[in-house]
Amino acid sequence: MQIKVPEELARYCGGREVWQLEAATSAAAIAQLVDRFPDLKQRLLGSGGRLMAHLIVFHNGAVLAVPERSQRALAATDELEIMFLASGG
Amino acid sequence: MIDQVPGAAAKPDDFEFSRYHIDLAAASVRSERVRCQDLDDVLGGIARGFKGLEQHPVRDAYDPQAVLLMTLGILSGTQFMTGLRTYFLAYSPLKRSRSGLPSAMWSAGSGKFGTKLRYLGIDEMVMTGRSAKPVLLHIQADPDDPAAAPQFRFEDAEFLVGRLVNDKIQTLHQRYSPNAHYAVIGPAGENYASARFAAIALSTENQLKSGDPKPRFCGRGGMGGIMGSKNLLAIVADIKDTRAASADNFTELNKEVARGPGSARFRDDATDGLGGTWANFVALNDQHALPERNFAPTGTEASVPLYRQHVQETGNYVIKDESCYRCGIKCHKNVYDIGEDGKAGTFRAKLDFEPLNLLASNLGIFDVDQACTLVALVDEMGLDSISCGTTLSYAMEFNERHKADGQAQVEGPFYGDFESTHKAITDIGEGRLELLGQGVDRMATELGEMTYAMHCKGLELPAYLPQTNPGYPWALAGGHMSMRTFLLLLFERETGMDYWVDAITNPDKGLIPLRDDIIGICKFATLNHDQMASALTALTGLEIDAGTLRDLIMRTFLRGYRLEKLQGMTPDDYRLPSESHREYPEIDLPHFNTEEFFAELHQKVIDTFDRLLEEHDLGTQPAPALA
Repeated sequence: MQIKVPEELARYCGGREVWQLEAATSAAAIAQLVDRFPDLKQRLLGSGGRLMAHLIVFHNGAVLAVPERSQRALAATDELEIMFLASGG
Repeated sequence: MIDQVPGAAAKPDDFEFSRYHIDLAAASVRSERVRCQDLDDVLGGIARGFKGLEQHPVRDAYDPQAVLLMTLGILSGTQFMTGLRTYFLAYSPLKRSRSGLPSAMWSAGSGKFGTKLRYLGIDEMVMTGRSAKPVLLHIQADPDDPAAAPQFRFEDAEFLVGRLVNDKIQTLHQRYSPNAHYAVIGPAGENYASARFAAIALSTENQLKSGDPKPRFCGRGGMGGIMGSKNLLAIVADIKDTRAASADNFTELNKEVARGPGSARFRDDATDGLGGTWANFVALNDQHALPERNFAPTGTEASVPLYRQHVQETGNYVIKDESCYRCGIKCHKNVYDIGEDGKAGTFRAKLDFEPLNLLASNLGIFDVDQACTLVALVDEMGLDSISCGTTLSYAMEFNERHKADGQAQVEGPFYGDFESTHKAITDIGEGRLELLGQGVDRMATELGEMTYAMHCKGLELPAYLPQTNPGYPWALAGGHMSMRTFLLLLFERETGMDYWVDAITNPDKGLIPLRDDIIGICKFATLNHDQMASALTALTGLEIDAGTLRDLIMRTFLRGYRLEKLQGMTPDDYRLPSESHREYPEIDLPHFNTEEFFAELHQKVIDTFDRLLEEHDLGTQPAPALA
């Protein structure tokens, strides 16, 4: 599967926004990425290892509701994208 | 549309724009075609506006000869999605240097007014003088020759005096043709002498069709007061819609704006109902970084009832995502009382993050019904919701700190007290409460307590904690509209000195909002420099790339920075309220913005901008400051 992080966080994961991983669930994918790039942890995960509230996750282009974020099963061709939800202006 | 001289190769000085000089005292109009000197002139907006302002320095923002400048960006009124921006620029009655001189300021708004001006062939209006009587400016196309220069009429506006914003617009809508759109001030703009944060409201299609109070606002910096000081209550832009300018890649780029990842965070369709700035309540409160009680988070769950999800769960409201004219983002979250049929009933308020936070949780008010009433009241008074909310929270904090020593204001306002808050807003708008109406800086100076007066350079802070944003002092026109550093700590958690110096001085980070306020589009379009450069090249034929835009952003910032210096600003003006440097244990984000950190950052940022100012050729020299 493919996982994409916000452009602003690419420098914490080898300068790339997009990574190919083998993961069965969205939680496993995020955990793998954080294991590989520990600097991402404080920028993605809050208390109890949950994804922080200012982030939103899309699975194959569709937003995942908060309860689904960690449980969504993934196929090998699936795409997961993490974006910042908060903004202003 | 700015016109290119036929047959010429595309370079900036092949373009001309139309400028109209409006003298309110003499009720006269003079027009000129102005040959562009550089790209800044062609792209317009605040880039060209700053060039105009620096030729007209003033010592008093309300001097009748002070300029109120209206500009459009190159994409305003075109078919580029979100290209709806109108800019008002002036020396602000609110923003000032410590020397007391008013400082250059702009405020941007959407709605359809700017599009109508574009259809009328108006790129810029320079308004000076003061009308002896309340007046409105009626601009219409020549009925015999729509392609001819527009006709200007100064008309008696006595019938508008004292009316609320929506009443003014609906009254005008009844009186003028259905084609017209409007820029109006509310009671606050009429009472400009004691209400320094008055806004200019721009009508929307939705507002004229529904009758609901749904204008868009040029809110920041007191532009409505400048308009009021000229006794100009309304501008009527009266012309049938025509075919707006376009370019061959606009269709593709518009799809990107409406459906692409950049705008997804603002869209309900992309986020399953989470879109829009309202989502910041959840995002910030999760880290206890949501302003509460004058920017001092309580570390509690007090603000949770104001989350959009919980407002919906009450079953009392319908929240609709609605849009500006021809915009696919639909970022507006308009709240209605639920009707008996379960559908939207009476319109209550448009709830963006900043008004909802600053007029509710930052005032200790956590009831959404009360919040809707206050947000709507501020809009109807024609006040800037950010300045008004932050001024109210300062007054409440003062009253809280002095409730035992007899210095508290007897009538309030007090934290959590809807009635005293409602009364204070009404009194500010109607000119009866000058202590608050003059804004936080002047109020705190008068009361002698500056440490928790949440402003920079006289402009009240928006709804992001200064504890987490050392970039605020260098924002030219309001802390979040012109300096995009307010969410960086939440997103990136960087606390290093080099990171923050770069964040504040980089045209791809802190300074990036300036780009959209030059070219005429909404910041929510969120296209990158390459995409925007391709749109501008396709429209103008000029060679514009990402580097060109970065240079333009920096040049525009430096011109604004130079304008601040010309009006008396020194390094001492670039400060945060001192209490924002102390540690707040309730905030679950790193504490780094200490006095020591900020002192070093301050020196480095000032050094960087001063060096850049020396290195850049900004063209025409500004007029010398007035003695």
